[in-house]
Amino acid sequence: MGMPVIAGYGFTRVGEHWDRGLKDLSLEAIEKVFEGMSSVEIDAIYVGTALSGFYELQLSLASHIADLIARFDASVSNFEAGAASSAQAFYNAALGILSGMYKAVLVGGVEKMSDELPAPNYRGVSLVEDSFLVNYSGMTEIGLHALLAKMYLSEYGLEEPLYSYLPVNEHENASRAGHAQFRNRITYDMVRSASPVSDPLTIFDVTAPGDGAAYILLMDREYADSLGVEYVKLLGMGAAGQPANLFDRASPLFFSASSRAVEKALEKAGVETEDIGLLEMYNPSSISGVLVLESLGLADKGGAGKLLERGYFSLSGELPVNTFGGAKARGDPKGATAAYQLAEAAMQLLGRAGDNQVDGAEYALVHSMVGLDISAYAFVLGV
Amino acid sequence: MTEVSDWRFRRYRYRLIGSRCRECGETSYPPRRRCSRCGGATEEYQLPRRGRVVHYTLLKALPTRYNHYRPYFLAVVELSDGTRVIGMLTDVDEPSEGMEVEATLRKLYTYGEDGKIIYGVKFRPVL
Amino acid sequence: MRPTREVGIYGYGAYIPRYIIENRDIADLWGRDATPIKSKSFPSYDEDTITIAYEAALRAIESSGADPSLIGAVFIGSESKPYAVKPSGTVVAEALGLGRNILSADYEFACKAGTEAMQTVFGLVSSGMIRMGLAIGADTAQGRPGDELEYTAAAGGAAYIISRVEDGVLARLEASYTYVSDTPDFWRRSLEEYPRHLYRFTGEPAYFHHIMSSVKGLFEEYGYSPSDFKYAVFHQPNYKFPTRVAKKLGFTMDQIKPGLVVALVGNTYSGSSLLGLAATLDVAEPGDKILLASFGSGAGSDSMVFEVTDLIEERRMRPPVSKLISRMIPGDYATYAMFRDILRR
Repeated sequence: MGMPVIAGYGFTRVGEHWDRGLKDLSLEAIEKVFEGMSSVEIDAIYVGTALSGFYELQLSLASHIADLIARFDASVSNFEAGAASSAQAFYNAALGILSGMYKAVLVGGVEKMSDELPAPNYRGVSLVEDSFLVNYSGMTEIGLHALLAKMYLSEYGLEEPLYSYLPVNEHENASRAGHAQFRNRITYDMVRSASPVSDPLTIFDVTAPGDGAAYILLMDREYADSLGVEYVKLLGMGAAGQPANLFDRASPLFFSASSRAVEKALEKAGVETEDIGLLEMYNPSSISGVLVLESLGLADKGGAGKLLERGYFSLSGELPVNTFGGAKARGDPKGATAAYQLAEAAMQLLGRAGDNQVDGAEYALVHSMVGLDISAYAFVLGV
Repeated sequence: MTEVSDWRFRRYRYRLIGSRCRECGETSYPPRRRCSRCGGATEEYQLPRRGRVVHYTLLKALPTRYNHYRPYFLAVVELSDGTRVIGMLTDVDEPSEGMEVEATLRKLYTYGEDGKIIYGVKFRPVL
Repeated sequence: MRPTREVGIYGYGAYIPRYIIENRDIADLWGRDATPIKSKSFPSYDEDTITIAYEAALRAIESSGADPSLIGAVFIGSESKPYAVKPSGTVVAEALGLGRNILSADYEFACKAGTEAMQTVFGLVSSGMIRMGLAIGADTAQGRPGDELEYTAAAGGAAYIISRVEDGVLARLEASYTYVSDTPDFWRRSLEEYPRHLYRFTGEPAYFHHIMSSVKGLFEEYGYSPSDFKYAVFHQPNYKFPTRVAKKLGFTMDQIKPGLVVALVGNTYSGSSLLGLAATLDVAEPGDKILLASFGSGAGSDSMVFEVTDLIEERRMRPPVSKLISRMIPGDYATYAMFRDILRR
């Protein structure tokens, strides 16, 4: 009994899988998890999904995933928390193993967003925010991000929205990632001149709907050793929250939940920020990514854009971020997104990142959040 | 939200009724039960109807229920007591930062041709 | 009719939506020459009779400083109720923060429903059943595309807070009169979207006969003549009718001009004569007498005589009707069609 390890992962390409549903995508990802592995006993199945109850009208998804793979002896749990659904699932799966009750948990997430039209999607992904505001003020997630961008530019007196260098970097990283949804390279000028979705944000500043499934095999370390599998260690994790309403916060531009969650995870892992070799963060928009970086102290307030412009966060930069394209370019199948992030961090630490390999990373930080930092999760992984 | 649950929120939706902390005076809209700043108990508080636009955006990615007409302006409005709220602007083609606005009652959405009409606060330029 | 205890107008408010469409644009579309007025107002996509009634009533309360807790009734006169069945007044009352112990109903008498609401509140306040009451006339009138009514059917409304004279009124009701007969010149069957009318039959036997009978009845019973009035307001379905009826009754243009808003605003139906009265109160001085005569198809007319008091100065609506009109901006036919749900997405 001790901190668990990631002993396997599997995921589908993110995209529009018109001919496949929640279960089809899940099955592909889960089969990849167990590829080349001898029989593993699964004590529990933890599944995150943000919208399956809306789109495929399937509730209690974990029960149906257990049914799908005929693992009827496993306990099942469902997690629904937007793009942090599978981060929540992972956090609790780790607790299950730490408790000594479980030796192995299959944990992940799945989303099938292409089943819906744009308007329900814009609404659906916004429903993690306060429902009064979403329903009665006309607010959406994208609208909220746009207002944050306005606040950001005004607060720091910035003329240029340099945060738009973040999607440039993300598309660059995704261009070499086989599982990414958007593999086209883009430029800053392309981001700025693209169709506005909610000014000052354009279509390239925000994530798009995607289908995908990603699963991870989380194990008790001794059990993993006994099976002889290669693994990545979960060294620390943390979670925190803050008010959903931006104006009930000390500062709308400071993601205090993300900051606190990361602080807890680093402390638990006994790792300093400087030791982090790569960051997989969750940012459904360019502006929110910049705010995450600044809130984690990885850039000065108002200064992340400049660092992005000069490649500080690129694959070959000082701190590679979203090494396979992040939510913007790898894709953002909400319930599965955090599981992709965790799997990608594991690939980096195991040296399996191919063209996207970050050299010499000893520790990876994975960050996830619900909506605009209402709740946040952080995980420190190491080899 | 359904045709039933919308009813429960009608006062807050129609009238900018927010909350104020009994301990530290912090105000919020929509209302909260416990203060986000000090954790103190709150009471209902009638927010002022007038304020000014601090930031605004033209939302083109329209969500269900709000997608039957044109893109609309979503704004951060600072009310005259300093409380900041998010709301839709109406009766305005080109807002500006600092524009004086006041809360009014407008149709938000309907549950189809035969369903309820949901009314709520929007902000429009001061008449 | 004279109430037992003296009543009057404690406060008033009006509202007109922001958009107008030029008659010329409508006429060009249908290839016609007729332009009965210059322009008419139309509601934004998110406005209806309830929101217009709310705006007018809010302005009445805010401008007069009336205590909302003293308001015991909300009656809304309209021929464009958002719901066929469900009161509009309860939404307005809730949104205004009025008490729950209030009378509320929607009135319908074509364009006369607003003054009908006033007459009812006069009676309730005078009898002592309620301390104050809100009478509102508001409409988002619809004319079938291409029909004569499309040139004039407009949106707007006005609200009047009625109280006893002893509570302090800005205008005292001296007398009222009413005249109705079964004269169907305009109607809308229950499941129909647009009303029908009988063209020139809406004139002589309907509008003119009823207003003249109502005003003459009032004059005969209470001994008034046109020269007693500083101002007069007649229901204004177009520009021609009110100016002609004024002339026939012996009123001058100077007397009706301040309240004649139809040329730019259009016919706001239940709001029409009440909007005219609001515009008149905006300029009236203490001691001025004002005649108000509504008309509703079907048909009938209410006449009322008000005398303006010293309180007018402090209770005038802010901003005045002229400001509501000057802020209006033109919309094209496509915008009009979209906002009026003629064109659906």
